[in-house]
Amino acid sequence: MTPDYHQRNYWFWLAALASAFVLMLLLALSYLMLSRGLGLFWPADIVQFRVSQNAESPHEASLVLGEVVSQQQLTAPQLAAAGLTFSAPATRILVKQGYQPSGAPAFRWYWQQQLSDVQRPPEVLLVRHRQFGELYGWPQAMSEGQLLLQLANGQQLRLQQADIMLQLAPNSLSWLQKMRWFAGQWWSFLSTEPREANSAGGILPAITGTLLSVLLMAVVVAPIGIMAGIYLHEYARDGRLVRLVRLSVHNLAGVPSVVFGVFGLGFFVYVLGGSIDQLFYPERLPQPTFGTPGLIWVSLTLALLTLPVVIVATEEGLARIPSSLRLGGYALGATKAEVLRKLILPAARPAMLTGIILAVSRAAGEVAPLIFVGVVKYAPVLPLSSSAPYIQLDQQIMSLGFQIYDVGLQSSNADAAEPRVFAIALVLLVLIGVLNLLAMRLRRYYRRRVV
Amino acid sequence: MTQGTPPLSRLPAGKQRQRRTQQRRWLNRLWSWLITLAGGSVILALLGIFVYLLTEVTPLFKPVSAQPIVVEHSPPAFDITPAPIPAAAATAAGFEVAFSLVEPLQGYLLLAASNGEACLWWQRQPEAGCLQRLSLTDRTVNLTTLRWLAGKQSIVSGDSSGQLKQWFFLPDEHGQLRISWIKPFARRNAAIVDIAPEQGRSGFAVLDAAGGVSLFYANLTKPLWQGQAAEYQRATRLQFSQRNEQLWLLGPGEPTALQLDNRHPEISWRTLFQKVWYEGWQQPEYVWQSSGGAELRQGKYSLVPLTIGTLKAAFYAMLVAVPLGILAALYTACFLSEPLRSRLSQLIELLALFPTVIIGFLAAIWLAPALEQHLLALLLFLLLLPLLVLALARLWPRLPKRWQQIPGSGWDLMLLAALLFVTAYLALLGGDTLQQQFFSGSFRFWLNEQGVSYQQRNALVVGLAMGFAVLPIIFSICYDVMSQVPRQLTLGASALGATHWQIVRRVIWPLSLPGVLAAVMLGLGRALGETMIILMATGNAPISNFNLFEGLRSLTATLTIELPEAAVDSSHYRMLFLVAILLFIFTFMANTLADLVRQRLKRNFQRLDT
Repeated sequence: MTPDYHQRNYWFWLAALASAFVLMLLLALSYLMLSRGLGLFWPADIVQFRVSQNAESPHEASLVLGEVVSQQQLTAPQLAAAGLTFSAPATRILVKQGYQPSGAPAFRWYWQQQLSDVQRPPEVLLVRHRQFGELYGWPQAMSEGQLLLQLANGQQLRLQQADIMLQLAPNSLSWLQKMRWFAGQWWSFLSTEPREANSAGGILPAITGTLLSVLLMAVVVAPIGIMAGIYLHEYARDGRLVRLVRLSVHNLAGVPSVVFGVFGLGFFVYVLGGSIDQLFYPERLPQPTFGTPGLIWVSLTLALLTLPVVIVATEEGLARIPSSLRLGGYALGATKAEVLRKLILPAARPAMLTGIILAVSRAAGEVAPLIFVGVVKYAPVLPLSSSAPYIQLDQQIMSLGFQIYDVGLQSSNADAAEPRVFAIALVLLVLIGVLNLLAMRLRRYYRRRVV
Repeated sequence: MTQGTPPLSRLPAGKQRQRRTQQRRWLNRLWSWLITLAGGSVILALLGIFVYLLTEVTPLFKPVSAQPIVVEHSPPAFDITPAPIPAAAATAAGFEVAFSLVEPLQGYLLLAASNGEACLWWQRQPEAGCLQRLSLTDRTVNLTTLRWLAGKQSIVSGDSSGQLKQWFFLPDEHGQLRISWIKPFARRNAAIVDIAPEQGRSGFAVLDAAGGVSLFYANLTKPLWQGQAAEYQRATRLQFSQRNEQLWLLGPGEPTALQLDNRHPEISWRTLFQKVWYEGWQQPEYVWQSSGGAELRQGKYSLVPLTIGTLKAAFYAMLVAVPLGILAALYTACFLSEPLRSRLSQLIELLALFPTVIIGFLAAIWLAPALEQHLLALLLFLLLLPLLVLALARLWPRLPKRWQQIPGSGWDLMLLAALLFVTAYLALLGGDTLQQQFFSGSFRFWLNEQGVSYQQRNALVVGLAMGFAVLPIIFSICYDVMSQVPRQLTLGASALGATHWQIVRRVIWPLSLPGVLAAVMLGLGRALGETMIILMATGNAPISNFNLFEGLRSLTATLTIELPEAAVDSSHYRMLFLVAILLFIFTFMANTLADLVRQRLKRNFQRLDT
């Protein structure tokens, strides 16, 4: 069928526009995520300018150093509401000034109209200090492990080289050098712990938490879900009751995830965890060991949440096996178990694997139910140990999804947090995208092989 | 291995085979038991989720019970001598004061005579005399008790005819407190002897002259429990134990006591779904306020604002997702040819991959401020769209034949997307210009001046963002159904001379309509249960209205916010479980309905195909 564009048909054009609109939305969303997420670590130029508070006395203008983060246009009533007398529309820019010894905030708005003498001096340094965070200034002298840095307000700071985590002169970098810096920053973002209340540093604990909980979930959900799927498809008699049960198990996938979280808190944490504590750790009571949110409950809740997905995938995989395979097996005298084990299951294995991968990718993006059962905003210690169980099942964890929610909306330092959240979201998206790509590949491979 | 059975290999061939067969049969049976056991128990466990949730909720609605018990130790003595009444107040009242109650915050004094006449006196205006004169009974009967409920926000009076009335101190238009009659409680059979308030919550117990004891709660007019016994007739006074678990009946002779099981008196079906006049409120209202005033630990649990919030968010989301999803599916399934068609559908289904927490974040951080600034542009865009459709439908057929052939190659979609982009840009420019010219720069301020309240994180933002999250579900199901319509039907229609549009309109659309309905149901189920987007993109204030520009609070967001802080087994905790059950039932029903429709449709298609 080819479209009939010669028709004078409004519905047709409306439908065409709707699909174009959805396509546009997808592209816009991807572009937004990519540009904002990747842009975080690209070394921006450091700008130097003078700000005059009033136009009459330009010599009193103070010097400002920093990165321009964003700009905004304000309309006349907004200006009037703020008590300003610029001619509308006025533009203001948000400048990241870094640490200010006076205690002034690191981010500040400046009016475009007040700026003068804008430069990008090549020698300006960006220094990341262990205590102060990021600093912008001119290097004055470097001697025996010390750096003398002159800040924009003329103050000079003597910084110990040992406290300096990074230093960079972005204005003098070539494109290639910036590229290297960019890659290095991403690496450190992915492989270090967070600092300053999650507003700086890396996201290693969150990545580990997400991966670990999801892996544990897969270990739990795979055998259980596959067995239930095999039972429903192969062994359960096809009566009215079984049809009803099948219908409700399938529809559990549509029950809001937060309901599973409620169940997880009530049953897993309080009932199950409480009983475990009473049986095995009575000496620690009333301090709970398993009777409090933790990694294992996160994984179990996720397993419950994704169980229907795995069951449905298994059943579909089994249903797709041509009946000739089964009948051939029986004809050769094999028992039901043998047909199942030697013929059907190997053929259906990719479908089950696909189901598990889809379950994992769904679990990786979950947030709401996990808030109840063990995901917290800050738990920098990885739930891993070098001795016997290797995994601390009772420890609380961080997760990527919860970081997006928490850092994005609850952070006290919103200007610093926002670009980080885009980067975290990008990491999560890439994780989920890779998993889905894998599932898609598997499915395609499998279809080709069976047909 | 015992002596009697030699190893397999030494057996004669026939026996060996027999034994092998037996072994295999056993293995087969074992395997089937194992799978049945495991699979069956997993499924039972899954269904057990619902049962567990129910068991957590049922205590809320358990009827109150009371058992007479033996008193082991006498209750702590309680000082019941009334505070001295100022002489000025007594003279202002002008009657013999039988009852007096002091309002603790501002020092109002309520004096009442035994015939029910009452006078409100204020220590800050002693010269004004009685600020308000009223009768607490209907003057024909005598007032027998007058008591504060816990928290001292409402008063219960009892009279000799068995009437119980509730009174509040409410401020009038000058800010001065006045006594207001609120409601009667269910009438007792005999004169009221005593009223005892519960400790720390707004329940009370009533003793009447016929030996009847009843338990009430301030929200409800009917008694929670009532009982009658001859030995209660001797009692003159009631008193609750520290945690309201025991009720002592005191009087001359041996005290008796009742063991009460009354953990969740504040919750009943009536308080969940009807307006309730809470203590200190001006009128009855639907309120969800779980951690209300600290001085009174009375949770206000009305499900109405939350249900309205959920429905509101779902409604606006469906308003966005349903037309977009159905139309896009229609176009993709019916008008595109193969390689492009599956590619586009896969691309749109990619949208489902975006975790809702990311969509919620974008909605809160990026969409909400942008909408606030460019609201007019959005309206303009919605106005321009029909014009665009009109223009395309009218102008395209007049284009040269060669240009009309572009379609089908994928460029058409790109072209349309570009057109849309240009339209959006024009709308943005136009909206901003209009805003400058006619609304003195900000449409939002103008709206506020017109009396329309506008919050930055509002239902519009949620509708757009959640519509976006629901869209891929609706799209993919509609697409599946529409592309599975049996080919003979479309080919047959084509052979009979139907145009392409006629086939779509008369064959594909009616056949796939049930599937489209199923898709909408599934989308609705998803929208009702969506959590993170609503949590992040609204203000989460429990408002009960359908204003597009105000926030809302949904059932799901309430769970996420409040459950981590609720004390285990408290009324609040169980209420949240009830919320979870409601969500479970809503979404489960929507999904099941959709599933049934789809299965039926599938059978129909199969029947038509053969």
